Amino acid sequence: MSRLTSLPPGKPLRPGHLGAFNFRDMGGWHLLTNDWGRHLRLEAADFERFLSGGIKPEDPLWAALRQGGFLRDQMDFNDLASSYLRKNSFHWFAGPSLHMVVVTLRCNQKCLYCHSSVVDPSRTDTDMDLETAKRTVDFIFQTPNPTLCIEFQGGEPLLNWPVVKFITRYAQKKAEAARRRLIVALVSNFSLMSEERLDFLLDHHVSLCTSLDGPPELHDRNRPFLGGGEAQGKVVAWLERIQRRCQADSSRRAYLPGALMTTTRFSFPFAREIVDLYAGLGLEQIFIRPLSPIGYAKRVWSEIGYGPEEFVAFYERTLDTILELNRTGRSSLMERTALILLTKILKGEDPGFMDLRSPAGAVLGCLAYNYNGEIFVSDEGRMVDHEGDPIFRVGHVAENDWASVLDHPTTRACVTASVLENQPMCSQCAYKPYCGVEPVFHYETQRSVFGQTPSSPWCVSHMGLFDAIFRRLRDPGASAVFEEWLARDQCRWQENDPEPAGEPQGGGRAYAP
Amino acid sequence: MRTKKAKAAGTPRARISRDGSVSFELSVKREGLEPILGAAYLLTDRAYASLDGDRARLAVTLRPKSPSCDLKALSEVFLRELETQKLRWAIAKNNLPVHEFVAEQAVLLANGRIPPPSPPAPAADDLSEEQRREIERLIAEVEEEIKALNQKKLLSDPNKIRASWEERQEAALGEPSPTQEERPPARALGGP
Repeated sequence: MSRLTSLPPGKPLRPGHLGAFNFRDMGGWHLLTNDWGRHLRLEAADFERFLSGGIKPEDPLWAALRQGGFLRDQMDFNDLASSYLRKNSFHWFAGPSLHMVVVTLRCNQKCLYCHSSVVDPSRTDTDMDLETAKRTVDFIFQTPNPTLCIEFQGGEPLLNWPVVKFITRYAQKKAEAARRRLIVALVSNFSLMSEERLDFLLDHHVSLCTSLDGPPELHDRNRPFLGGGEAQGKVVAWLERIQRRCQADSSRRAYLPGALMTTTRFSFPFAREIVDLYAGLGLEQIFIRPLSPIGYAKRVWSEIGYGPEEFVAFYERTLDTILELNRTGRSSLMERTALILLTKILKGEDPGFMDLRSPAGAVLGCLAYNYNGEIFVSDEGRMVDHEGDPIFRVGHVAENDWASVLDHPTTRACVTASVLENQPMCSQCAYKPYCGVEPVFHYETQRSVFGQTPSSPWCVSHMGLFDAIFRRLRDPGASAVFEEWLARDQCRWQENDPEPAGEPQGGGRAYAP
Repeated sequence: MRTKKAKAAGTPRARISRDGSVSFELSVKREGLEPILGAAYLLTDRAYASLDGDRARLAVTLRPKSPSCDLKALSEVFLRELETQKLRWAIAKNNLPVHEFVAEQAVLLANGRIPPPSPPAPAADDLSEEQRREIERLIAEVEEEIKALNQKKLLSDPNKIRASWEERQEAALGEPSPTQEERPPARALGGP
């Protein structure tokens, strides 16, 4: 059968009474979902009874089917519309909330997978100048979302520290004057951090996030310094230092640093060690992210890349390790991908993750700004440009206004291509209410912003991730841990701000000052 | 060869060619255009699919991407997908008006045009005559609104999506209540 899964042959069907839903054969049971974000798990025999109209009002399953909107003549339209609205809340966010600013292309590391298109530290010509920085902030404030998140990326942003400071201050002044909510986040390797810089960042409520791929033998292999040296040791030392600073001051606890890992082929043997490292450091979350075959990483894919099935297997192994630590009370570490999917599945809410939206976050949810003022649909789009293809460039801060970026043909193409109703396979997938497709990824892997879903690595890996989560939701032990994670995650937002908007792509945490 | 049983049941016939492909002659009327296209598309992860024919009959040819592919198994998978596609499309078509109505309701809810639901909402078969009339009136009202919006939308920007922040603020000054954009998103949506 196809990856969508098919029906058992020869079974009686009575589609007339069925509400709008998609289904997936999970092996012995079926998952039913609908566009309003509801889901239901049915044993194989119950699924067949449902399809043939064999579940009657007196049946215990009737109420669940009715409540979920799976029975065509038993729908509570207001309730379903309310769910649909909550699930797609980003449709009503006016404009992009996440603005990724590349203040320099320079970096002092030469990561094996670095698809951020970095250059040598001597290339100061790839630093954003103050004039461009000001114009970038001015452009960001043209965009109409009431909440703005500026995320510094690179290169290594700390190599252009004066501009980081300027943008932070200038944007905060503008936000204050315009009474707009502003979140500032920094994604850095921390190697150029200093006490003075940390003081500034903490004083200005900048969320901090770094990359931590695992134990030294893995991290230093993935992310070597130019000229050598221990990269992992520096990251860990600064993480611990920043943690101590934040914990010592109650007003700064919301700004505890985050870390994220990128999975290379070399990560596979280290699942346990990676989890132990994150748990040992007392980090709240780990974000197990796949490598994207975009930009530079595409060139070295044969050395460090892998198939989507391999990533899913690694993810499941790592997730099970984390769940085991939680069950036995040895750690309360949460896994970010699982949290994103669970927020969608169990809470029916949008967690603000740009990649899993329909349409995708490109322009509508996020924009990326290169050091020279060029504007891209996303940071991945900028990386494609760095490889010589400007297709995802949608403007320039000195030449274009928000309306022209929104009207740009590339914006329209990305939006059209990433609406799941326009994707023949996605429109029938059980994971449609929670999933999304990424036009830049498909352009890079399949030479089309639409992609071809049946053979798309994006689809294989995301289906695998959703399978992993839904299968574990059937396990009471794992399900209890998931529920606890969601409750804790909710508390975190409530303590710091009730409405997460546009979570930083780098995995840093977006808190309001 | 097509078996007598298959012929009696009307199962489409698979023709396995020596050139390493398998093809099907399908009646568009009987199988439906969308299910045929859908089943062929789903198998493009393992085979090249080509289509030929007209509005009445379509020939689908699947040529495996891997030389080790079992053509008989591939043909069985295609036929099973075709049957599944028929169900998927039947469900989708039957529910298209429901889908559209719920989406429209969501838009109206988001814009504060109708109040959020007050649980517990009555199930369809528990509705009184008065409630049914009210729903019909509401549906007619929504349809009118959608019609009017559709007429305007090509020329205007009713949600001010293209407007800059400053333009929105200027527009908001003349309005008695906060605009949708000024309110925090989750509150505007009614929260969790």
